[in-house]
Amino acid sequence: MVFSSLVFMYVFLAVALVAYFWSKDIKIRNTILCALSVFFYAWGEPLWVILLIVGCAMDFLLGLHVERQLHKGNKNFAKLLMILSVVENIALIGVFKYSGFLVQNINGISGTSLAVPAFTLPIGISFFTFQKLSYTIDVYRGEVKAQRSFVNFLLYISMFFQLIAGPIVRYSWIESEMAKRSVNVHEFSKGIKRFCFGLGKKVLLANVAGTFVDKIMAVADPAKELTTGEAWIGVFMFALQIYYDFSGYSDMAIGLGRMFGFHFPENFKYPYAATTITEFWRRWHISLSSFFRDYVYIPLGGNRRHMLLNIFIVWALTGLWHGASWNFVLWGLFYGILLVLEKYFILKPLANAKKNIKRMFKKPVAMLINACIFIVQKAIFIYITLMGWTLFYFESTPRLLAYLGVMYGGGADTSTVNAALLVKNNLWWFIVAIVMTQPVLKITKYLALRAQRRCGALIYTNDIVSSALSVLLLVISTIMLVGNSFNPFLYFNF
Amino acid sequence: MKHANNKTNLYKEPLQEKSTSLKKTGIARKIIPAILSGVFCFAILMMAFIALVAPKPKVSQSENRVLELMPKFSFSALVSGEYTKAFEVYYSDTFPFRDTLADAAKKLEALRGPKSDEDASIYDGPNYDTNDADDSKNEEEKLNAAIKKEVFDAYNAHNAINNVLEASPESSFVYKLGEKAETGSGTDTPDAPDVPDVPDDIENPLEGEDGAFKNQIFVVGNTAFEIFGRNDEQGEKYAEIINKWRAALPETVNVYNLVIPKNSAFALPSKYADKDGDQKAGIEHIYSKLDAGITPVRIFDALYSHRDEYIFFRTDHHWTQRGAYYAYREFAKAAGFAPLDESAFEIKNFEGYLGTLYNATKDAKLKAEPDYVETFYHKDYTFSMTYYNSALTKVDRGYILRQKPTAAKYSYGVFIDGDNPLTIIKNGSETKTGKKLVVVKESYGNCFVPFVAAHYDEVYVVDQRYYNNLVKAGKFPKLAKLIEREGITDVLFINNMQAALGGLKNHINSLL
Repeated sequence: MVFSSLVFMYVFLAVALVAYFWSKDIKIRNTILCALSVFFYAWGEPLWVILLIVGCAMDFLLGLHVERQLHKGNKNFAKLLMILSVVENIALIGVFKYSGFLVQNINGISGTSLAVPAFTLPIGISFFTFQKLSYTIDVYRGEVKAQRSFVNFLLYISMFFQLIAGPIVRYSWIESEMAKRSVNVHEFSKGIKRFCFGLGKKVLLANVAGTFVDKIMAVADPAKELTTGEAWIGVFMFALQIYYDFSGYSDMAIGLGRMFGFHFPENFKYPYAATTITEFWRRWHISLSSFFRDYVYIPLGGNRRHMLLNIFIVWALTGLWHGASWNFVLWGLFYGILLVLEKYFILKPLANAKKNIKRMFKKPVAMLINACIFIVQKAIFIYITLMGWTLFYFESTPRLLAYLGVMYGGGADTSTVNAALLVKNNLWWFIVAIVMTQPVLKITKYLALRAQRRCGALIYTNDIVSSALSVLLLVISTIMLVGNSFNPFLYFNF
Repeated sequence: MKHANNKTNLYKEPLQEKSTSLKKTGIARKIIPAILSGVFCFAILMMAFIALVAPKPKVSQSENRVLELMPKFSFSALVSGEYTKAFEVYYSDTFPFRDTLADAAKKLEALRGPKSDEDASIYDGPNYDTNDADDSKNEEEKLNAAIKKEVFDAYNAHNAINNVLEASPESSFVYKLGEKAETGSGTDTPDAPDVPDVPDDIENPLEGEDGAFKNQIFVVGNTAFEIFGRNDEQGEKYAEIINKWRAALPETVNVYNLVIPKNSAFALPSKYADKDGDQKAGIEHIYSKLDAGITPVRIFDALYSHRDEYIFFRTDHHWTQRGAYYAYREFAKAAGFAPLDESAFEIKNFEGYLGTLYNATKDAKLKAEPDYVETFYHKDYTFSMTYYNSALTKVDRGYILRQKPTAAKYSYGVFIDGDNPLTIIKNGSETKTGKKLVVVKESYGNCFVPFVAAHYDEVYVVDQRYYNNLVKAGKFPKLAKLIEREGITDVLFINNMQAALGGLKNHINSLL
């Protein structure tokens, strides 16, 4: 059950809202939310819901014992228990997500023919194992207190808004809200707005971009069916699709959380507004990057010991997290290399150059030169991002190579896809989809709020406009969901 | 509120309205959030409630298709996750006001890009039912399909129409991504005669117009095309199936094969001509692979020379009966009888027909200019027919062409009452020919069959998709047995290009 589905919105959410707000008692609310979340997971994974509950029970007990041992001063024993939890979670994700990939590679390298395990990936396993793992580590590190109630712990892991597509929620974010949270109409309406905007992103932008991606990138024989320009349009569409899909989901999760009284930090901060890869990764899937930073990079030694090695380990793992296939590893390393290059050769000299330009030239001239630098940077940024998504899209190497071949000039003379016509026919959509990757709404809102403060007449405008827009997005998205069956779920890999 | 002097501050934290200002303005400040919350909750709960209590539609009027049914609960389906998946499909398929909302969706999609008179926009494709005789389906799916069929038949009976409205399964071939036939591949067969030795000076009224893909349906001006190209590999498989049939039948039985090209071969404006595969060469390739005992019926050039006439619908994927008439004259040549002249027919037109391609695209320009259905009634012949409808009930009719369609949108159903598993046509004329014909067809055959009925004592019209339902029900033997039992002298396999290249050919195989 994805958020952007009629069943979710008009059955599950309706029931959830009524059930949740029935009682004011936080314990009852937690229990109800927990039951709803487990049901939500069971709906998608009727069998593996057992895995979720049993895994939660293990980490719940481990968490309690880690804390107890720490209190007793048995640091080593606590560490052992913590490692047990880490191993348990890595084993869980390893068996379900990576065993097939691993055995295939072993067979490939050593020529053996071991049976390749073919587990269906339980939905959201990449998210909830990471959450469980981070919890016991945080308890061990003394950053959080162990949760005493199993229901609350299960709720933390399985909370339906973040269970299947993130963000990867840290226990510390919600520790206090688990015990005490209040929802007023103001917060609730903010949650609604966030949900509706996310829904709009997913249904009106990501799904539409997805149909174009399918038409272009999924052709059987790119060299015969696509022109070079079309191949680039295809990747461009994929870049739009994956951003709107991912960030739309995060928005919906954040919005739903807020409706039920939880506050999650931002997971996407306009990544395509970046001009450098370093900046991009500070804005893209923040909960994942920070997870790897806090639980892999820093424990490995961070900047202090063999930093380069650490960086590459982290990026190979980041890639691998996105799917059990070499292209994801390649994609991760591609970014690892670029980030290292930027760190050592580009960012500082560039900043210095910009400063020097400001110092050396008069203001208009300096601005002009810096604008030119910005444009060049942006072009390079877009180029790199598109290359990255190409690596990300194709799990099969021959297909990747074939597509790259078309991107670099080996395309057909005439196409069967007619992407130019596709863009022309959807020009308004295309423009909106590009513009919305930039923080236009945020800037508009900022300006509106500033104007609102200065002049009392505007006091409700921002609220009225955003509320009306939310309702409009809800209506249109519902219409499109009824009228269109194309509603892909991109997270089957995670 | 931090001062956002530089741009980066804007992204860092969501802007916080001060909570103090909230308190200051008090209740007034809460009105809008309260309204939004109220509207949101009301909308969600209301729709959920309506969905719960309202009767569930079984058929979509605007899409002409059967909607999903409430899945049957079973423990194994639940554990495997099939149940919940099927429920989600069912729920969205039977969502309240579905048809209205789906139509609104099409209209909204049209807003995605600029509109001009020449241009059309891309809509999403049709939900054509897939083939129910697909062997890969498991028993449960088959059962579901059977239940769906029952509902559908009940609906048909209710509307006193036949299942021509069933969105043509043979078209599903075009819409499957990745299965798209290769277009204009360079593998021309050497034995394909040069295109065409027929007049070339006919002006295409669509010339100069801009077209657009609506999913895989290509719309230019007032005409919709199914672009599908050529696929010799599939063509060879089709020929192989016909060859198997030839081998299965006694040598005394004449076997004919007629492959019908689609309108994209004739009416595409020249600037889009390369979008379509070379259909003539594709058909010739099929014919080149047929065994010697099969007579291929070549109709391409005949249709090409009449391409300025109304031989294909513009809003529907079928050909017209006029198209079938020119094919009939070619078939007569191949089968050795003299075809009737056009003057032997009384021609009636049924106006206002919007067909499957319109339903798939909901294109405004197609709607503005509906098709008409030209129908050829024999002046000097009478026929009666007996058919078994999709519920396998026997129906007797004193006609083969309806005097009037049951509704404009079912106009293609005037021909032999649409697609039925088996239709037996008896020629009422005194003089006997001593010949009996079996026509194995999909819906393209419907408007062709009436012509040939005048030249045989009996015509057994077998719908390749549904005939085996009669066999399964024990009402008729396998087709080869039937041919033997009834003393059939001639067998014609007539298929449109798409059915020949697509999955529908497998149904002919399963008739064996």
